[in-house]
Amino acid sequence: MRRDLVEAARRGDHEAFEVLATSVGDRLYAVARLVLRSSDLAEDAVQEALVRAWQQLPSLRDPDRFDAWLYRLVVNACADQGRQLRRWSLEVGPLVVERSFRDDTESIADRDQLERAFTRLKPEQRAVIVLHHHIGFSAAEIARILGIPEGTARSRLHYATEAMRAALQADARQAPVAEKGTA
Amino acid sequence: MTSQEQLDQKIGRWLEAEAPTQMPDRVLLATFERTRRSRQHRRWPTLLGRIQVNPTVAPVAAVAVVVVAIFGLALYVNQPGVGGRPPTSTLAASPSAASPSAEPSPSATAAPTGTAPAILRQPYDGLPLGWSSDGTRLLIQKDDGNLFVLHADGSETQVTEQLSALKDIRGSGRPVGATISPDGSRVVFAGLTEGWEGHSCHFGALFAVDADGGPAEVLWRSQPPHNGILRYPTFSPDGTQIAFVDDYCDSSHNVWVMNADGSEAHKIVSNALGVGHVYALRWSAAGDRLALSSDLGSQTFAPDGSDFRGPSPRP
Repeated sequence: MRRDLVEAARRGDHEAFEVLATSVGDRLYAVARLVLRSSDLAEDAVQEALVRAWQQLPSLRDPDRFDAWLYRLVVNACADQGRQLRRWSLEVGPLVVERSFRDDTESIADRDQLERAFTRLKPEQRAVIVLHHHIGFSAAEIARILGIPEGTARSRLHYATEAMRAALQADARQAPVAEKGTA
Repeated sequence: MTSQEQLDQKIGRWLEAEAPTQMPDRVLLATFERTRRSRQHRRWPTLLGRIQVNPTVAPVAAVAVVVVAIFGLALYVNQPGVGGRPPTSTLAASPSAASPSAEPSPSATAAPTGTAPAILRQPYDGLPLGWSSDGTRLLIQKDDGNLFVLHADGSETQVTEQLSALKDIRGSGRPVGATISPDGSRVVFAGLTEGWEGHSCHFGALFAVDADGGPAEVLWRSQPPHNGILRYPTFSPDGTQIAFVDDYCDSSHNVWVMNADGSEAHKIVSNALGVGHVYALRWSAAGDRLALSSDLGSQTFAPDGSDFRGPSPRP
């Protein structure tokens, strides 16, 4: 039935598109919000992605790839949002803190460390982290979604994970030094 | 469990906790408003390889193209000034005019207030944002976010070009609301500027640009912590003032009014109209009231903020 909806939307059936967009909106928003760390930007990114999806639907060859294709559009929209507000740069400092503490599995210190480590990543690195660790795509699937070679997806995921590990370890090393400074 | 597996699990749990569960309804509402006005991009047949041509439709389409081309040529030949006939309308006499009509309709001349010249009744892709008071210019925002002014002669002027036209203004993004002055000479739009470190908001500004194109200049900047993002600037009917909305991190909003040159900006409705987004801000035709629509409902008030009517703002 989903394939039927995609086919109908490709032919210009706006009601079918509305059903599809409503069914995927929350997931796309979660990805955008995690990558961009801002509700406003995430809303804009999802809106842009869905508008492009409507416009470019006729060019989607395989209706079964609709969801994966939408992820690509939202990741690209996140990249556009990031370019508009700040240059993609390693110097980007920690962003926003729009948090939802729904899970207390991690300690507050752990969450802070993860937050800092994550926001230090480049946005394209954040995207692969989110697609892999939150959505559950493999590196091969991420490569297909983003239209990049599988090797590139693997290395991007590897370096992103390693960058987070390094940032976590750096934070852990800094804590004892700070305590010494305030003693 | 290896340290890599431990890290992967940690990241996964943290992302799960951080991820929002639901997207605000306004995103889909705004999306569908745009997509209903937007056309899908269809593949056109090319001469090279990858062709998607319906064998039944193609010959009919080809004949249709030929007929339209002949018709268009006939119209062009019969245009005033082209076939030797004198121009008969003010707009057709303009050097920049390119009216496709052989006989100008009565509304193609200088239109009374609120009446669109016939040339502007043709379809366009974009969100209409406002007319000049004589109805000869229409400000629209196209799907790529850029602002255009449509002119009575059928031409259009691109007023913004995203970042490239605003290179000296760091980070300005897709305009969030724009207005054209009543005399049609100026466009003022709201844009984002740099991020506000440590907060989820961004700085914003109102930019002014000539409606015939040119560089944009900053008219007014948001002033944290008093406000962050600015939205929906709107000229007063006499063109002397501009009202606009600011947007805090916590979805509270204030309404401001300033002179059209950006001076003497002051808050007129203050402090947390409450929940969610503002969707529109408009002056009355007489310029004696403003109307605002938000998630809280619709309110109207005098330009000095008095005589407030509608759901009350929070204290």
